[in-house]
Amino acid sequence: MSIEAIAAIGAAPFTFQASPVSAPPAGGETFAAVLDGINSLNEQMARNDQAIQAVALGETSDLHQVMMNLEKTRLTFELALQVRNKTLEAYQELMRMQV
Amino acid sequence: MDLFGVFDISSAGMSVEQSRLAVAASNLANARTSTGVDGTPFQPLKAVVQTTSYASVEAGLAAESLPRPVVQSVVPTEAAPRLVYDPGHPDADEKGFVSMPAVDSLSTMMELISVSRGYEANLRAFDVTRHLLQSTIDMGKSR
Repeated sequence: MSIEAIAAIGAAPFTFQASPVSAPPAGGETFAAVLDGINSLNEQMARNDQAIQAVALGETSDLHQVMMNLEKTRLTFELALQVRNKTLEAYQELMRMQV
Repeated sequence: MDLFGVFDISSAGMSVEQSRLAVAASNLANARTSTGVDGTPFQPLKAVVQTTSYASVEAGLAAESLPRPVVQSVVPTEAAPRLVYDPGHPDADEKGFVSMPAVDSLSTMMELISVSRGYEANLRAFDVTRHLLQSTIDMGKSR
């Protein structure tokens, strides 16, 4: 019985090569960039606090501007929260991985 | 971010409507002002709205480069004062007529309705933008 049909498979040397893990390119995004973003979000919140105080003291004439900035900050915060959740989820998934 | 830029456009529109409302309120409040600052009767005002820039394809049509309205100036209208016969009035002329401001309460009421609808329209645009942003962020919510 001839098994020539699959002989070609055995002939090919089976090698398993893991592609080398390349180091992240120098000067790329670091974690500090993420912290920078969080810092600017924090500044935005501090400015909003001042704006709310100004509204409460009757010092501002542009209520819609304040509300709009509040909404902007809320959305930015939710975006940051989602990014944080996703990152943490990925980390925990990795930590649970069977070795 | 582009959708955040839409917020600023709506905000500019709301500022303009706010100014128009203030002008209309001032006209109504001064409907019986027979003596202005320089002795002449109060002239009804109107807000002149202009745009900051014009959209161009070269600018990429990003929300930041789209035109947004701004109140350029508040100018008195040309309407001639209304003469009211009131001989006892200190501002009456020798024939007994007092010059009253030509505030047309009917058209001012129309202006108020238009301001209200305009402000609501800008609020609606803001609401849609907010809703879209919120939905986009909710895309990342886990299950």
